[in-house]
Amino acid sequence: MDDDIDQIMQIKGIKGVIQTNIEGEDIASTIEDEQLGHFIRFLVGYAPLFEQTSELGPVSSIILTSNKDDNLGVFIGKEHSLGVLFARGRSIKKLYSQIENYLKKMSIGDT
Amino acid sequence: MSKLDMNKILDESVSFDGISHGCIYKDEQIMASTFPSVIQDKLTDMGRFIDKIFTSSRAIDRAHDEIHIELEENKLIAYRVNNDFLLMLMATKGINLSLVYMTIKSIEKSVKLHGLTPPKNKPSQPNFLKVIDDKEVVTDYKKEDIPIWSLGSGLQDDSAELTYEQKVENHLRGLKKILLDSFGPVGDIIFEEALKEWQASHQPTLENLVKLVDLITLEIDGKNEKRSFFIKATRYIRTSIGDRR
Repeated sequence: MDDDIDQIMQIKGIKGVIQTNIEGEDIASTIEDEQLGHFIRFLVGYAPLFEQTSELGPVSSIILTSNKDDNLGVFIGKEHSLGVLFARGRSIKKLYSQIENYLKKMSIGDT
Repeated sequence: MSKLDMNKILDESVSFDGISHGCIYKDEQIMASTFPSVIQDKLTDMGRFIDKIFTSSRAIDRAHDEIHIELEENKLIAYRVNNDFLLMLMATKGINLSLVYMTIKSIEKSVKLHGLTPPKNKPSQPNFLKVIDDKEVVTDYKKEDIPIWSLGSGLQDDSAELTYEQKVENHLRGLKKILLDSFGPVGDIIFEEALKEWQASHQPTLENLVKLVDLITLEIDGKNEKRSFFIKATRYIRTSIGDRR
């Protein structure tokens, strides 16, 4: 697993990764900012609540973007979830295509 | 120059191919919406959820103002416009995000310059009387105007081998598919609401499927959307059931 995280970190534009289990506890993390870590875990826990509220079906990812800060993506899986901090201005589609294989390997999201 | 109207902003936002519905959320209310009225209450909750995510982001000194929530077949995109209101859009997965982004930025600039007025009729609660009025308009068409329409694959063939109950089930799936094709995941909610009402008030027979079509039509907002569904559903029932009686 740590090898996967190391490889994701090698992708251009990716600045940090957190892998959590279903309880939102870290399995692996390269994000040092404690508050950001909490925010990612909050999003992991928030996704199923949003599913229940919206009744629009399963949520596979939540991505937050900004003109001023780095972007943040949380990819939800049944057993693990992956939080990715990526550079501002980086295309979401590009990010998906770059980490798709890793998400598949970790059975995360709808890839 | 006069202030911008929320409905106009919404019309501009949902004018792209790939965006099926949109709404504006502000101060714990849906101020304007093109979503079916049956999910208005859910929209308010969704707005609250997304607002909380943006608030949490700000609480840790981040300035995120755009969120993409990926669903099974669609994505919900929400923008925090000028730190004032949320614009929530239901979009297809392959949508041109740059096109939408630039439109939102242009709206943001215009709102900053001219201000914003709420719509005259806030649709935060379903307007039942309006729905009934729309329903009357829907039936205003000629039978020969109904286009040929096929459900395509994915449904069981309605052959003589099926039991009566299976035939009814098959047609329920067909009606649901029409809704899903037109409205995405929102169609599922509309169908389940109408089905519940239909099952409570009618025998589950092929003849009574037209009553279900009526109930579904009542749940759909917008004259064009009502008309489109009604025509497709009526055509589907007429060709698949009517001709075999």
